[in-house]
Amino acid sequence: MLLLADARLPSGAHVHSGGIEQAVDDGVVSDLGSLSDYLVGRLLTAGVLAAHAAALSWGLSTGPRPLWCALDAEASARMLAPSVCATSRRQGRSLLRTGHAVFGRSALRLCAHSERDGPHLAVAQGAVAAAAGLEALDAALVAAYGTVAGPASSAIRLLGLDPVAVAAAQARLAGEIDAVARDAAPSAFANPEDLPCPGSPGTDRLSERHAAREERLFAS
Amino acid sequence: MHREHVHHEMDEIHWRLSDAVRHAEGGHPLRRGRALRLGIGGPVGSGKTALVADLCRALGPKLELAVVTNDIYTTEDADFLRRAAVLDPDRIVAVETGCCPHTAIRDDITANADAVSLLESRLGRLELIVIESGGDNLTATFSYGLVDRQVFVVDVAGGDKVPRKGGPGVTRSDLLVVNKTDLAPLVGADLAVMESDAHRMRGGGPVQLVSVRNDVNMDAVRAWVFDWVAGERVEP
Repeated sequence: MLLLADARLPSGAHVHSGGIEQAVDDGVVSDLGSLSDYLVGRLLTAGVLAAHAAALSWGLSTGPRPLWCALDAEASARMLAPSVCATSRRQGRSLLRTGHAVFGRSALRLCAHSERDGPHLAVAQGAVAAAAGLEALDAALVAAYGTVAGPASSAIRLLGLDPVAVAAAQARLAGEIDAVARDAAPSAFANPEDLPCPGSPGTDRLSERHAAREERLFAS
Repeated sequence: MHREHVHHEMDEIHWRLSDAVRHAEGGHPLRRGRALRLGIGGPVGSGKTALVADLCRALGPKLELAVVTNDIYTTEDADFLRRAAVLDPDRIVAVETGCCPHTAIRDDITANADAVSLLESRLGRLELIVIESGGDNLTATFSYGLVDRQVFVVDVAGGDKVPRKGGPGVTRSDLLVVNKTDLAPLVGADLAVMESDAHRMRGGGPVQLVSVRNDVNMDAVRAWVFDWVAGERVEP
């Protein structure tokens, strides 16, 4: 689980800022305080969706019913911005490829059932967590933590924030990340259509504007 | 110089999308069944993009060639190459490196591996993919999970101490190119010292002193690349 949650796992995460690059350029995030607010927002929207989708994907990986397409469609339906959807698939595809190499081909049944462009990131996280022998709660934790950790490290690079202070800001979110994951884990065997739908129009707009830019440092 | 390549399992586990196209075409297949990958690394301003443009111009007509650029701001180098019209624009892809050009070529090669897959699925059979790193420092080298061989480019204007300073780019790259020899008299750099330092630091590995811009000694670099790729072709 530590390996999965580690930003240094080579799965392409370091080129994604989770909307932070646009937020910084727009002045929405400019210091530690505004970054902390942004991270809470990410956790309670993208984080909640990711944690539930990862738990469900974990359930599909360990259970008898291969409802990947249904889960994938339900996750897509909750990502209103096309760029958010595309980024999620790009990262999911990368993680799945790394997961293949690290945990073995046979362990990842998801691969045979995923979309051409790759599964959503959270779906891949759930499947890889299952392949690694982890529990649903671990899958949800990895997914929820990822929605916070990525933007946090991107903000350090873009704003030159004190990395120790940013680490402390993330540590202060530990309880909330745990709560999101604990809430999501029991839904591992729920129906895909019961995925929660926490919309985040603000970050959707950031993502769309970022995707339309000519020049950028991060892929998202 | 033979180097035991430790290839990432990624090479065996291509995404289905590109698999379908990968072996479909004829032409000169390569022994490994995929395009060879050449990394071009080195500090900012040493002449990486100029070298890539030269290789495209010289080798583009002879090899099935494509380029991946890694820029600070996404498309600067790719746009330069497209404007220079050294290669069909479809054959050039730029990747974002998230403020960390060295990470994208060494610690987490995913974005570059994706770009390689994209080029191979878009263009079918390719013989050589040149991957240009973003300008970085003397310690930034490519992972051999991403490239088969790498060239490290330093320049005379950076000072004649550079080869002596070492670092993995200078000491371990498959070819060290010392560019801008024409500037040596202007910056007080001693080419003989640079060359002997480079040979000493590299334990006999190849070194070429060139001026990309004035086409001085570039034949040697072009031949080094071409002969390698041609040597990997399987005779029909």
